[in-house]
Amino acid sequence: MKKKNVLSSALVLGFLPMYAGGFQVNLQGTERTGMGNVAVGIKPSASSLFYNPGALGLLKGSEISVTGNLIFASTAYATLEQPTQNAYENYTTHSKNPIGTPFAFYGVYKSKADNYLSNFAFGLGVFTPFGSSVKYEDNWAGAAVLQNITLQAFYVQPTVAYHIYDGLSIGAGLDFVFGGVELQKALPINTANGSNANINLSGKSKLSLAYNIGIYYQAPKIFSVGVTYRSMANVAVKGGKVKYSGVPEALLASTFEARKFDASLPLPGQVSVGYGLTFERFSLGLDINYVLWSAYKELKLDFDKPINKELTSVSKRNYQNTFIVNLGGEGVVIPEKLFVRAGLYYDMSPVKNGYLTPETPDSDAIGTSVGLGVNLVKGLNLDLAFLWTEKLQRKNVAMADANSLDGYFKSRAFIPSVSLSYKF
Amino acid sequence: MKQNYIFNASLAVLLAMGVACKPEIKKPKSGQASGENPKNIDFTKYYAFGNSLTAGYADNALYLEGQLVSYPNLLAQQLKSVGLLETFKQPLMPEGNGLGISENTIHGKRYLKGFLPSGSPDIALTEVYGSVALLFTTQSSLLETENPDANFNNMGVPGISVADIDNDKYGAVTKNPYYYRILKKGIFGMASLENKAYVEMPSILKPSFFTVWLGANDVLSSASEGKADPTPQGTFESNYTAFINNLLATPKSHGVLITVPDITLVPYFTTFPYNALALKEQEDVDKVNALFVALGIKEENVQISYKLGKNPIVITVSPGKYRLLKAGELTILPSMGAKLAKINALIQNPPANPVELATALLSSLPTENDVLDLNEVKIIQDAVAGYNNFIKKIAKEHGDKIAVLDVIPALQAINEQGGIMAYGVNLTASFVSGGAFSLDGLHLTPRGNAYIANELIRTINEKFGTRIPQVVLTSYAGVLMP
Repeated sequence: MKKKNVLSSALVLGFLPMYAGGFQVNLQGTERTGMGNVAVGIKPSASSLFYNPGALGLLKGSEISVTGNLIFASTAYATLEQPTQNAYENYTTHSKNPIGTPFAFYGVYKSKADNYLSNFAFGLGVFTPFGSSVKYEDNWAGAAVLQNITLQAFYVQPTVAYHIYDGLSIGAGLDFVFGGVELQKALPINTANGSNANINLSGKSKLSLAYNIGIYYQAPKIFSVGVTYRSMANVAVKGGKVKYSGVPEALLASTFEARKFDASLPLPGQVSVGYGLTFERFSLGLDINYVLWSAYKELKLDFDKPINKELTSVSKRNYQNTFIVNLGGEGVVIPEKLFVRAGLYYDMSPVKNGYLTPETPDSDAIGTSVGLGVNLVKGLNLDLAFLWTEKLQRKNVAMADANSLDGYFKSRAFIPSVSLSYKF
Repeated sequence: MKQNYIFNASLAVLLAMGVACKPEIKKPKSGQASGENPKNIDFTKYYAFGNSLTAGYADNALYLEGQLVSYPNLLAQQLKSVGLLETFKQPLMPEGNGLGISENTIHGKRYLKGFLPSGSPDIALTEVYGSVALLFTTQSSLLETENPDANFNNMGVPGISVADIDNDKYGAVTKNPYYYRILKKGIFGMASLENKAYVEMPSILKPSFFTVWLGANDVLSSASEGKADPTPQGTFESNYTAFINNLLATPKSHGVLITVPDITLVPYFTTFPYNALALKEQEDVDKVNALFVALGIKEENVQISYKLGKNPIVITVSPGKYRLLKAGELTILPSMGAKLAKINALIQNPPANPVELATALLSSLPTENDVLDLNEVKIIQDAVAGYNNFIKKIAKEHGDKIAVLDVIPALQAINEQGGIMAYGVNLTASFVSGGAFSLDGLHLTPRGNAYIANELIRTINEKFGTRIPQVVLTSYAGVLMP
């Protein structure tokens, strides 16, 4: 086996173990994470650039913020028993995911001067709302389905928002999306020492575009509401590399001829509505998100030359649209100095029964979070949060067209998050 | 100092998160493998009886790695995992290439050296080295040092047929050294048993649990030479009955009988079908046809002529008399493979001298010895069906004690297009690429053994209400690539 595997190097910026529904990663601001990811209709801040650009028009000034997360995620797998056929197995294994490090950066300029410009906010955000990094042992039972996968998507989003009047503001951003994918699986070939030969696909995507629009309304007292829509991005890899390890030369010429591949993957759009209630000493928020996962129908690989006489490989995914419901709040311990936060969310899985795969061992998930906000010096804030997501155990009896495997999957993630922001 | 403390504490917390994040799967209790044994079957003295398939023979030799994944050893390993068995001993070979015997020569195991330009596998035999060969001579004391207290649970004897089991000379060194080897030291400290017939083993060993997979050699020993001369049904029945009666003489013994595999479904006979001669260029077709005309190669006075694509193989029936193979006829892997390779080489690089070419081609043509004709195939299949009906009948008569595993459906399943699928891997009966059969085309790979072990475990669970876990097929290798 290859000793030096690029995927094994943990802690490389942007490596994202699977953690939200599908391969979505909702970790774009520590303050939000602490409140169960409630963000669309409450508390305009720099991270609104991602969650609801409409809210940026209500910022009181300029703001810069940097967020970093560590994802400790693990998936347990156990083979399926079939008592009716008197077949039992006692094999279990755990994924060996690298620690994920999704990040977000926001810079928003909003003039404090009293002129025509002060109704506008201009911002730039860089964030990673989609990604996945799952790694299993090279010789695990399902190695022929997947050994490891890394999927990355970087969004760069210039944004503008306009404060129309009173508490009403709208905003829009254009997303420049860059991505990359690497996946490796075992071939049904054993090398002389008995280990698996494997195939490795890797490639970077061309630039693709998406947009993000939102509207936000803050009533004179207490109540606020936001609505936002993010469009789908289609990440396409052209001419990605196909590499083999442990395959005899003769078979590389006769059976495993492919050296390049094309593939594309939709990063789904999303509609969100958020409500907020803000009182003197505490605030409460509720978000309802509808994620348009049904765009992900299949994973299709087109090869330049055939593998086992096939020029394409199609694995059906048949994702379904899903809801994520978030509920969270913040308490003011010392006004303008110290805040505590807590939240809860329910994240439905887009993966239908029979289409669960080791690359996205997904399931309905419950997220629980706590957070802390501290004003260090004038304008400078430190936020800390801890999120625990528990995916429900799921049994998969693989559909034939999914190219997956039967078994039980259960995942969990612990995510500490930190951000620094400066308001001026 | 303080900052250092905070840093270390944070690091410790982060590390703890990584360790603590370890979800566990809770299976429904009804689905869990366990040592549950409602009928109190005694597995503690498990003995496996059979031929080379049971011994763990593979790649044309008995060698250590093959023995370690023999299906009886896999079953024993799974029984141990749920506490139903403690020890299972095999007559392991020393490390190395092992030893095979074919056509009265001894050799090591087969291995895949590479692939020929045509894409067909290039298979070679390893040398037998060192003292391994001495195991098969009367002077050898190796076995004693190798296995100080020989009493083996795996009693698989390569080459043995049901017709052989009542032969009390079978252990004599000239007859079957693999049997002699097991008996040389004696069992349970008894004097050498080399003059004991195999049928007596159950009475000596007194298994509390047994598996029996005998009978393949009753059809194979003639079939592997292109003939159909199976053991007569009567001999099979009387010997088999004696063996089972001796097993059942032990009080409270239970076991599984495994049916005789239909050898016409294994790659030794199926790798080169009747029309395995493929011509890809019209130039080659013209060359071959010209040669056929020049040499007068006719079938029933009709000139034989080839086309582009797959062509039926021409064989020499007797000098000057030829015929084309028919659909359904089977060919013998090693000899047909060698002859087809020679013919293909002659087509690609014909000698310039026409006489030399003609001589070479005529001497390369296969004969009836390389083929099982339709009649022979039928005789073999009928014999297998006859043996298996009898095995099922015996199992049924002793239904409270004996389960039966019919391997024919399992063999058919891997002969179908795509074979069976486990964890994203197809297991088929195809030679080299299929993963089930080793490089001799007859015996199983580790993965093939795992497949049979799982069928066996399923049979035991079904019959005796146990919950013995199966093995994971993909944890066991198929054919090893160079």
